[in-house]
Amino acid sequence: MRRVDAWLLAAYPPSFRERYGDELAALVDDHDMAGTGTGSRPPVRRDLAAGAVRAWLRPTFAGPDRLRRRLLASVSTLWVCWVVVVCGTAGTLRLLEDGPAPGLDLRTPLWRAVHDTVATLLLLAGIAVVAAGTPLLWRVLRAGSHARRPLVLPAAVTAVVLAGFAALQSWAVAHGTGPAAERPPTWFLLAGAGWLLAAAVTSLGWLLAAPVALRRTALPAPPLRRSLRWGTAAAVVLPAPALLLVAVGTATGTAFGVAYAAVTWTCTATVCAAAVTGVVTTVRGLAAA
Amino acid sequence: MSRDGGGWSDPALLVLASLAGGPKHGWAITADVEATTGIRLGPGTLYGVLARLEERGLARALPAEDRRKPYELTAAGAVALHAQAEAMRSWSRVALRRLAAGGAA
Repeated sequence: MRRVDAWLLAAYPPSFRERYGDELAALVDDHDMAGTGTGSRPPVRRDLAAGAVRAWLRPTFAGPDRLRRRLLASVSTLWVCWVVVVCGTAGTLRLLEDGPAPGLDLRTPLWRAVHDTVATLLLLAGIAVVAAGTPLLWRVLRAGSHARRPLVLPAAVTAVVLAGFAALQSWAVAHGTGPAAERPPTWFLLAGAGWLLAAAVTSLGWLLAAPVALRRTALPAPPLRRSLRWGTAAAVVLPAPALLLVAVGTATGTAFGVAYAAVTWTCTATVCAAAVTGVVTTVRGLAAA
Repeated sequence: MSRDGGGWSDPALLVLASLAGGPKHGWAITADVEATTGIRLGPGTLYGVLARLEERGLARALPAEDRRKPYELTAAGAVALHAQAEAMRSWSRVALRRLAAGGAA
C-alpha cells in the first residue's frame, strides 16, 4: 500500500478502523493488484477521503461489540473536542488581550470578569477530564508497550515544553521591572515563539495520541461508560467559554479591522464547533449506554 | 432519494443486489457491481455502505478469509431489497406506460 493511501485510511475514526480497517486496506490492495492502478489514482483517494469524512459525520456501530465501540468513539471525540476548546479559547483570549482593543485590558472590570469566568470554566472542565481520563490512562499504562507507545513522544515533548516555560518565566520574573521587560531581547522573543510552537505541537500530539492509545488498549465497555459519565461534566461546561467568546467577539472583534476580526472569529467558530460536537457525541454515547 | 434509502444507482441498493447473488467480500462486490451496472464503487463508499447495512441488520459479516470478510444478505436485507425492487418495477411500468401513451417509445 502506498503511503498516501495509508494516511487516508488513518484518517478514518478509530472505531471504524478497528472494525473495518483491515478489510478496507485489503480492498485498496486488491484495486492495486487488479492492475488498474486504482489504489494510486486520484478518484480512489478522493473516495477514501470522502468516506473518512462521512464516517466521522455519520458514525456507524455494528456487530457484537457495538456498545463498546460507540462508547470509545464518544470518549475519543469528547477528548479531541476538549483539547480544541481549551487551546482555542486560550488562543482567542490571548489574541483579544494582545490585540489593538483598548477595552480588553485586564484592568477593565468587565473584561477581567469575562477572563476569570472563562478561566474558571476551563478549570472545571479540566478537573472533569482528569477524573474521566485517569482510570483510562491507568489501564493504557498497564496494557503493554503497543498501547503505551503513542503516548511516549507527547509525554517527552511535554516535559521539554514545561522546562522551557519554567526557564522563560524565571527570566521574565527576574527582569520584570527592569528595562529589559519594556524591550525584551530578540532571543527572548524567538524563544517565546518557539515555545508557543512547541506547545501547539504538544497539544496536537496529545489530541491524536490519546485516542490511538485507547483503541490499542481494547478497553471493555464498563470503564468507558464510567469515564463518559464523568466526561459529561466537561461536555456541559464546554459551550460556555464558546458562548462567552462569541459575546466578546461580537462586541469587539469587528471593531479593529477585517484581518483581526477574521482571526478571532475563526478561533471562536472553531471553539463553538468543537463544543457542539462534544455535547452531541456525549449525548449519543450516553443514550447508547 | 436518500443515499441509503433507494434509487436505482444508490450504492446501498447496488450492494444489496450484489449480495443477493451470494456472500461476497469487498473486491468481489466491487467487481460484481461494475460488471452488472458499469458503476465502480470506491473503497470508501463501499465500506461506508457495508457499515450502514450491517448496523441496520440488512447485511452481516461472515468469518474472515485472511484480511477479507465476506458479507451476506440477512432475511431483513432480502425483504428490504425485494420491497425496493418491487417499488422500482411499479415505477418503471408507470414510466413506460406513460411514454407509450405519449408516443415517445
